[in-house]
Order: sequence, then C-alpha cells, then structure tokens
Amino acid sequence: MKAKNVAALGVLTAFAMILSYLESLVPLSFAVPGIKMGLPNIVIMFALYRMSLKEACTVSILRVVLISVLFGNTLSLAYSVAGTLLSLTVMTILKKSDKFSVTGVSVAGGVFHNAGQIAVAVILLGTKEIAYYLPVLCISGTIAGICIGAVSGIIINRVKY
Amino acid sequence: MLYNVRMKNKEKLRNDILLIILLLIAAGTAGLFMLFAGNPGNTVSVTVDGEEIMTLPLDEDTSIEIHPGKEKDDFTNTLTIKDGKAYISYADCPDQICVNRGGISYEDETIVCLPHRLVVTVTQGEKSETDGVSK
Repeated sequence: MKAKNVAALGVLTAFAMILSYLESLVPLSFAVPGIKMGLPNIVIMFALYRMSLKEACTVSILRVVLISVLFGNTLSLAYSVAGTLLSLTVMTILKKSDKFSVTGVSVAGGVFHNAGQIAVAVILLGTKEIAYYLPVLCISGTIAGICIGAVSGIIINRVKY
Repeated sequence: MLYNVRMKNKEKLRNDILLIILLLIAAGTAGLFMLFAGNPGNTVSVTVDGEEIMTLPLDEDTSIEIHPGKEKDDFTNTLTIKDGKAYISYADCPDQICVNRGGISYEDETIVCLPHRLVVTVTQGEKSETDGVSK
C-alpha cells in the first residue's frame, strides 16, 4: 500500500469517527431507537466512489470498531458491524449495477444499515417483535439517505484527492 | 457522448426515485398493517436476554422493579401498569429510550431496553376471571 493511500485512509477514518461522534451528540430517537442521519456514510461513499471497495471497507470497519471501543460495548459493536457490512454490500452491488446515482446508492445504504442492525438485535435478543421498528427505520433511513446522498454527490465531485 | 451521459443520468434519476417510492410504500404498508392489525392484549410478558421472566395482567395497576443485570443492583427498570397500559417509568440505562417509548396495550407492541437486553411485550394470555363482558 502506498504511503499516500495510508495517509488518506487515516484521514478518512478520523473524519468518519468525528462524524459518528457528532451524530451521537444529537440523538434523534423519538419512539424508536436507532434513527440516525448516517453522517459517516458520506466518508464511506467518498471512499467507495473515489477510491475502491477495499478502502471503503477498511474505513467502515475501522470506524465501527474504534467507535465501539471508545464509546460503546461489545453489543453495540455487533449491531454496528452487521449494519455497516450489509449496507456496504448493498451499496457496492447498486454502484456496480450502474443503474442508480449516488443518491439511490446512499438511500439503499441507509435502509440496509438499519435492516442489518435489526437482524442482529432479533438474533441476540431472541425476540422477533423488534422487527416492528423496521417500517419507521425504513422511512427514516430513506430520508437520511436522500440527504446524505445529496451531500456525498457534491463532495465526491469536488474534493481534490 | 455528452448526450449519452445525460440520458444515463436521467435514467439513474428515474431509478433513484423509483427506489425511494418503493421503499416508502413498503414501509408505509407494513407500518399501517401493524398499526391496525393489533388487538388489545391482556397480559404483558417481560423477557431478559430472550428468556421470559414474568407475565403480568394488564388490568391490575401495579409497579414493579426489574433487575435485568447479572447482579441484582447492576440495572434497574421499573415497569408500571396503569389504566390498562404498561410502561417503563424508571430506568437507569444511558439512552432512556424505553422510558420515552410510552405506554403499550395492543398485542405484540413492545418496549425494548437494548442496553439492559430487556423486552416487554403485550400478549394475549389466558383469559382472566373478569372477561371483557363483565367489565
């Protein structure tokens, strides 16, 4: 790996962590836990579009692990890893299909992030009733995805790297 | 070439909008279905880590302290039943989502306290002695 790449990955990971932290300062949970803007996804989208899947994967996993170690616990690590990996997988597939713009990819990422977390919660807590949160999280994920997609689109096109 | 890119972008935008509409419709239908499919329940079941630890009737006002942690003093959630609704009136979890969830009374409605791995669900248990008619 080139030195420039290593440096870029470090900056991106740090940036994703800062966005995670910022997001945790403004809790959006109303009746349902887990409603989030998904700000770190801007960084992941940037890595996915301007670098490659390898970089996007590295940044997301590093972010999730570091944030959980710093602020969370093993339980939150399990949720986040599942959400991130599922979301990244779906985003990669949609991007490769070349049928959706940045916004569409980001929307799918947002929704599947929530879906992954709920799947893990259902398995870990052994109660399928948590799936009742899915409709609300699906709507919030879609709206968040549209906003994040719009921002990511601008950043992907304009930031010099 | 430029024309092709524009066509492609237009097509992508259309796909984006389709995806968004599809997701919203799916979530809306599922949500509405869950909202209206609910029957009033008569018991609440309390589950910790997937294991049911107690069931309580919804028609008796009560307030009970639950300690979902391994040690008795690890965690506390106070479950209150009042006017046929169950809610968590106190919890020492960091996010307080279970407290803010409010009351539940319909079948399969849930309160989840993720940090304490506690789930409270409304169920349709055995008929109590005073059934719906005599009330």
